[in-house]
Amino acid sequence: MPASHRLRMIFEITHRTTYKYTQPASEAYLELRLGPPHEPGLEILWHKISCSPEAPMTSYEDYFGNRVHFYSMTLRHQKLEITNHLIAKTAPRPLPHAALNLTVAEARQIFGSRLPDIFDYIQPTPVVPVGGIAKAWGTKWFRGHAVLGEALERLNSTIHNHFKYVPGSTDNQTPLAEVWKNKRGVCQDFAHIMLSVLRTCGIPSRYVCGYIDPAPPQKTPDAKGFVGAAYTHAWVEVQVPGGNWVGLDPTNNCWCHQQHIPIARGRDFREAAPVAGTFKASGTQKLSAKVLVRRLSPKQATQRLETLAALKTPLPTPSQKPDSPPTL
Amino acid sequence: MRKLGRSALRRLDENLEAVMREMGVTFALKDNRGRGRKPWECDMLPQIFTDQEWTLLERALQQRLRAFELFLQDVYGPRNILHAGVLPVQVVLGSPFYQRPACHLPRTDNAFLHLTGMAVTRTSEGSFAVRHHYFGSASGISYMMQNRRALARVIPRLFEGYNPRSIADAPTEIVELLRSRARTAEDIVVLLSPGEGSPAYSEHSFLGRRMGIPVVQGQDLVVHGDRLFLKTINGLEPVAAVYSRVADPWLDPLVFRPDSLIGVPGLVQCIRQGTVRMINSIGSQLADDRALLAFSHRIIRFYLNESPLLPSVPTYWLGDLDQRQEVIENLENFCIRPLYGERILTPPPGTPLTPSRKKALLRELHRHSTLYVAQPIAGESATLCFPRGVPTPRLQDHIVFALRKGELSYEAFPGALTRVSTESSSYVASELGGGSKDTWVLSPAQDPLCPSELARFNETRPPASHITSRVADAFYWTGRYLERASSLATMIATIEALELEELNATEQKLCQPLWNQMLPPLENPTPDSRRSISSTEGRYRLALDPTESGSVIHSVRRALDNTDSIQESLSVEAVAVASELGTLFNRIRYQERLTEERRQAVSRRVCERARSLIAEFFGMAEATMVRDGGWRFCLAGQALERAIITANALCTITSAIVNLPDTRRVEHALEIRLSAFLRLLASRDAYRRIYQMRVEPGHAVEMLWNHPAVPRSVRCCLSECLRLLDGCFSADSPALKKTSSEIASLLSTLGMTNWREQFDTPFTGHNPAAKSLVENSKAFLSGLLRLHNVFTDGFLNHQIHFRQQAAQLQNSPSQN
Repeated sequence: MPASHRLRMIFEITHRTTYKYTQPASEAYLELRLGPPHEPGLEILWHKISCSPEAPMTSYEDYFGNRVHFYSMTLRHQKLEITNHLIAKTAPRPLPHAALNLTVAEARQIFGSRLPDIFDYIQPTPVVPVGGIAKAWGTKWFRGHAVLGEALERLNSTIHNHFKYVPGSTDNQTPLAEVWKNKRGVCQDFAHIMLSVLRTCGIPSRYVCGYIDPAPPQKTPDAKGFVGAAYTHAWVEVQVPGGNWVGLDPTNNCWCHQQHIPIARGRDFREAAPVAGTFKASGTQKLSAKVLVRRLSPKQATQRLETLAALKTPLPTPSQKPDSPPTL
Repeated sequence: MRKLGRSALRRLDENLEAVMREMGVTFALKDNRGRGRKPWECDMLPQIFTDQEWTLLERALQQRLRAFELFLQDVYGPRNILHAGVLPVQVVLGSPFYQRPACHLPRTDNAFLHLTGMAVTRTSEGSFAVRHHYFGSASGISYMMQNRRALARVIPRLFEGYNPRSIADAPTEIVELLRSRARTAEDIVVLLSPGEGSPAYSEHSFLGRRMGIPVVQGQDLVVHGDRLFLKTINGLEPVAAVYSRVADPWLDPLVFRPDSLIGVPGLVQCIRQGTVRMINSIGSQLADDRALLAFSHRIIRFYLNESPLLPSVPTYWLGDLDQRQEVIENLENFCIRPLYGERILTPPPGTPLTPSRKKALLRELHRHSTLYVAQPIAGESATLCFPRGVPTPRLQDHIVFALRKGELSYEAFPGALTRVSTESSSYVASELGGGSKDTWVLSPAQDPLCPSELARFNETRPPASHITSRVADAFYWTGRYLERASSLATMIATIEALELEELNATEQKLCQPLWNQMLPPLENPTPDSRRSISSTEGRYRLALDPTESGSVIHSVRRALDNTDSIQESLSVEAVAVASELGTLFNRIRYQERLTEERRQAVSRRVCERARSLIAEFFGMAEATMVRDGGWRFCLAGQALERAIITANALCTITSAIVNLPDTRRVEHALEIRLSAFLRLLASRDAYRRIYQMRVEPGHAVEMLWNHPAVPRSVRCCLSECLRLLDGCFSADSPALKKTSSEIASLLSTLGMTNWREQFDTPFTGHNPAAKSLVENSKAFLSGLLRLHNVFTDGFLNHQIHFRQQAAQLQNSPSQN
């Protein structure tokens, strides 16, 4: 077997989002950014989005290239459940070394000449402001003569060490300033902090929502696994000169590789939200999400795919962890 | 005019104002919203454009529209102008009006701009300069037309010897443009308005009437299967085209601001799928960004390779450091405005800028510099106006409007909305109030039209079938809440009177447990509710505590929230009574500490007053309202609520009687209870008239269930519901079929039950007959409560329709 084949990994992912209402809703509309994107290094062997109650869906490609499914439910219902079921094969993603070896000054010059293309990715958004502390950090790591790849790596590990990963310490409403102040957060906050520094320095970058395999990359006894697998994970992609995007995961202090499976991209978590929607109901609703990522051997994968093809409605239940935090 | 005296001129001005008021032309300013809208002001001296001036204006507008259409297609596509470095990238891609979702959206006829406007001002040298683009959202067409109407009616002599071109057909042309977007005759066109809170709502309803299309709000529309529908009481009507008066960020909470309550979730998906078209296309409002005005000459040159026919008013974009510096150094010479909208940050010229305000202003300009522009104050020429008949110089500007006629081709409406400044300000902006002038473009044609011809307007109302579910829903709940408030007020006032005047303490004790169970049932009862009508304190709270769910004040306020949302559909007289009812409850404050007597007095007075005002509301509405589907829903709500309250009370009394030991059922005490019971339901009088005897349980219960002539009886209320609905729907409406059959089955159950006889048989111990009587009553009550769901599912939220659709879908072969 050729070496590259041995490096490939296969994952089965089940991602379930549930809305429960206190009073039945008469209308519900959702946009599902559950990808997965078609791109090199990611091969989709099986993908099915199921909704309950069931309704026909249409899809489109949004501004950031995400495949978006539009779901509408006009029958009264008490509960809404979306399950994303995915079997994907990933390959190693070689880093664009030539671009990463440029100095920050050289990179900036190249970006400057392509402003209309990269503008979106260097602007602040309502949840990712620029300037402030981010500026101090930026000037420290992104001096003109610094090598781009090294600067990125240093920023990544600084964020990883400076902030504490505390599940449940923040939610979707927590402003970034508070994360800076309290020095703790979840993967979404780690990604936003990194975006804020990068954009302050004029380096185009975007937010990625996806799944991560928690298994440690090396099979040594003291190897640490990845965090962020119980829910959707978040990381950052940086555009390097030449137009390629490279992924960095500040929560796990690494470059993104085969164990990261992207599903949606945007300028911040709002634009890359896997499930977002609006409801018409007199009560309130409660949202919960669960993700299960399972590594499959090629043999298991073949069997699994055969079973699925025969069943046509495959829905394994993700493990229930009652005390887990709502967001990651 | 010179020949007329001061008083004659003054009279003319007053007449103009009166005509505007009568035509209902208003413009609500920020501090003047709500019920007291200001009538639109039109000056008696018209503005006249010479042929030469008009030709220039029209050509300049066409030129800019061509350039900006190309600009929009470019920046939402290849972005050539940005790659060429002609414009700062920030001005376009950093604009809050640049809508990223518009990049891949299909556009109506492959164009952004369809109905457009442009404001021009006159410089001190007398030439024109463009002050603002209203390309994306043109507002003011109706005011332009109303000025002409008012002037032609009040001073027809003015038109003698002139021959202004007619603008009466403007809405017809707009609606033709929209109709050409519909694929079938059944597909309708709607005007989407933010609702009655919008300052220009009078324009929306005028245009809607003139175009013959329904004026709707976001909640009137629903997306189902990637298609847009108008929810009406007759069912769902497919919508093919939307004339939107809602700004892009509020259109669809799924795509734009998630907090928008005035949009339609899924609307953008319909546009994406090509099932709905909209004017103007989403994204157009970028063209109105004032920062672009500063670069409009570059945009015209880049796309058309032409020189601008009209200059823009000098506009400084404060996102540019040099420009900001220049403006800040000469702050008193500039008017600072946001990129869009009518707001002005600087005080009117002549008014000094206080140091604290200046500091705040400078801080804002530094912090959000890219969001502001500055235009110089000096350099506009004055015109003559006659406010209250006194000749006065005022500043002015003109908004001209145009409609797309084909590929990069536009036609201007031969007229304009001329705005003039107020007394206090020497800057023209709708935000500052001020007046307007009728604006004439003279026709080269030989035979002048007579003024009456100019004022000819054949207003068409949208057909009654367009009564939307939102409106019907608000009417329905108005009926239900008012009836609930009225019934409860009657109970409270009656008990106060009974306790004060008639019943002794023992008798009161006898009645109290019963009374509490007679309270109107609530939709979402709180399990720990303290609702009690048996103590003075409890009654006071039930009357006046706004936090007590189901109290009189609470129900009245819920009802008034509903009437507020449909003011346009109510008669002025009915609105006046509703507002009096609101005032009653705003004047009296709920107080925790009050003496027993005071509480009693206040509860009784408020309840009696509320009851008579509610009766007055229904009476006044009945006498003044158009008897359309909407109003019928109000009455149907009232009838259903009344039936529910009566049935609930009947359940209570029935189980109380059958649980009494047999011997006591004929005693005096029972009679007292029954008499109090009937009085609480305001039906003792009816009983006396019909039976002319002392109160007997069988008769009383029979009457309230089944007597066709007693207004509180369940039969009477249900028949009324049926009559109201039957009259306004076609027989094949599934909602009507379902509702009628439900009501008919309830009525036949009523008819088949002999309530009186059941009471005559003696109840001893656990008599099965007694048990079945109580159970029958309760079953009937839940049947009534279910009727509410049948009703709302059929006419208001269309669940019946959606369920049918889903069933059809399931029966069709599934995809995999």
